[in-house]
Amino acid sequence: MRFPPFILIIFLVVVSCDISDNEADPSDSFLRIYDNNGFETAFTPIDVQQTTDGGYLVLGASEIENSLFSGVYLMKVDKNGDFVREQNLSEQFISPAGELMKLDDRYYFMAMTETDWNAFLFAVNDSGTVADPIALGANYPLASTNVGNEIVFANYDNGNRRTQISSATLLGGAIEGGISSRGYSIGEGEDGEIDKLIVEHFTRTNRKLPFFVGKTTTGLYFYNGFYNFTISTVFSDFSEEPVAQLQGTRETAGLSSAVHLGGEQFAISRFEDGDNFIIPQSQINLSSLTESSVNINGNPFPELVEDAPVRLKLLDINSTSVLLYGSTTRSGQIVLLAYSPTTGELLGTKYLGFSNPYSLASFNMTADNGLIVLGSTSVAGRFERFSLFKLSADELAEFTN
Amino acid sequence: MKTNFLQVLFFTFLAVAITDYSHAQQQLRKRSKKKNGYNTRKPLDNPFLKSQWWLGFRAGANLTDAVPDERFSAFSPINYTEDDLQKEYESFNLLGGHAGIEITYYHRGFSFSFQPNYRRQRFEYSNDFIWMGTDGTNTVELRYVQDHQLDYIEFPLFVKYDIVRASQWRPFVQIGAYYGLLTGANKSMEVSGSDTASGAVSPFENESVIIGAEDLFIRSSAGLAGGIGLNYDVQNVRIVFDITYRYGLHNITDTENRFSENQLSGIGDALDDLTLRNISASFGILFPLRYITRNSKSFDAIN
Repeated sequence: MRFPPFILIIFLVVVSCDISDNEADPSDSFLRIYDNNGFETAFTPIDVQQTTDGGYLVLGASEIENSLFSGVYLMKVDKNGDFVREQNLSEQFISPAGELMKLDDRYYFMAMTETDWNAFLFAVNDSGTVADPIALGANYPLASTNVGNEIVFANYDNGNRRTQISSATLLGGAIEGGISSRGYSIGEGEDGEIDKLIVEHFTRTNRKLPFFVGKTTTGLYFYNGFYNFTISTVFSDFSEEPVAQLQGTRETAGLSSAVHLGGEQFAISRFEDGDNFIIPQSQINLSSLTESSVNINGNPFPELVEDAPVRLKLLDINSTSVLLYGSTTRSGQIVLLAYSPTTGELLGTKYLGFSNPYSLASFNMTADNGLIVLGSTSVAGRFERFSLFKLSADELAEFTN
Repeated sequence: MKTNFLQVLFFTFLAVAITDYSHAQQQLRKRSKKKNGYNTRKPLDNPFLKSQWWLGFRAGANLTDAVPDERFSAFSPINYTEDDLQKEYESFNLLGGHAGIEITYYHRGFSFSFQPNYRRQRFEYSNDFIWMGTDGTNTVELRYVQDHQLDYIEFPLFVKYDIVRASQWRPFVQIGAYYGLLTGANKSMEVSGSDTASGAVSPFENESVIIGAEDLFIRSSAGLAGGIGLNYDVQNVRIVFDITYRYGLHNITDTENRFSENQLSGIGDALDDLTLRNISASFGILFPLRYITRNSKSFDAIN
């Protein structure tokens, strides 16, 4: 039997192609952990946005000495995820609230003053420089988002014991035409327990509560926050009474995320006594005054941490709409779950983070059709630091197609 | 699964190669028998007597040095410099091994030698981290030591030149090139350090962690090689000892998987761009495939 040597040569040529192909753009895919060698230093990430120079702007909270509140912390990194600069506004402003909103060429977020808890809107440019803040005429900012140039935000009106939802239009970095607001009572009487839970959310001395806001395609505003003693999803057209509400159970059950899909269809996640449920297709009766979120059946996710914070976004990935849920697992990993918004089918799952525990803060699409995922990790098992995962377009498509 | 396929392919190749040369040897004997009666040339002028095929086995130990080019880390420092994150590489400190066959064609002092082998190469680096409190009393120091084990099926081809020929001891020099195919890779990591914040006064050491690292490296490893050696002929058997230096020509780190497939990236680890240098010492036993008759009682090999 003769061994044909050309077979070996062809084989070697084919397998050696990886030598010439071994060039990857470092900005396509990376993991960065932003380490500070201070023993007492700790950072809590909130949100991330890609800037027009390809880099990223990270909003976070930093510990303040001798204060239970956390300070405002901004970090700019380059397109490869390398640290560029940081800015700490903690001496004046505290309790930054997500999201980090992108409008035109600026990025906006809310925080409040340390002395009187007045909420302000901050504008940041590409390089991370903060402009003079805009007073919002509210206090204790809870959550915000933007729909085009319209900013929707919720705050805790501690004087009137209400959760307030507001809307404002931003033009050229200034509020145009005033702010529309409506407040709804967190509960009649002088219970005080709900107020305590909200303040503890700010001081991080108790559970961080799943406050969020949004606007339906039909023009209804909604917030997830306290209403009538429970964490409720309240739909409002700024009239005196809510249009509809989805009530939870005190602070132990309610929605943890929601995205409007059209009509009365929503993608949601909910928590109930520590358990978590993901429901990519759910009908919420917007004409009914009160429904209970605990009656909504969904896929239980025991792998998630108790009452898991969940981020949910409807993304356009390769011209296909994909619902992307993000959360934190009990094993200390970030999990991303992709669902079809039309069928509710699970398209794929991606886990991020090894060795040290990781938890999710936020994620957003990038200009190269990849995904940037902000989280926190405990370096050396104890020091809370930001972590930034960049998934390439291929890596994202792998589990969302 | 991929690794199994390559191993099967390698051993199939060896089997086929050995069968091939056994076949060649049989043919040669047949031809020699046929021609013995008609060869009118003097034995020393016959080109047949100036060439030889050798086939045998070789094995040995090797040491590797990983040379970093561009440096990477999953950590991006905020209040210290990136230089503090650079890995410290140990050079030629961990013993690896290799074993394979050698097929050599000798002619007038020159030899062409094909030495496919299965080899494990190891290299090591360490990272040091420190976190300090503002008053200097709380300090955590960690040291991560990572041992990398890379398994290759390697196909080296050498040209040898025998410096001395008319002797039982035949020193030689050799140069050549190699191509290696990665069949497996592992990392094992040990963590040690000290933690004054928890009240400890003495260092601690954690158990080592072993993870698969095949996806962190590209499949290929190619380079140039050169070395010196000594042949010692005992009757018809040749014993070979050589020392060979291998010089990798390209980055072996998979740049695409640097972060995404690294299970230790969570602790800040990311492979640098690396080229390998390796020193191998090998012993071999070679058997000649061609013999001539010197007398009626024995056969001698051509050498």
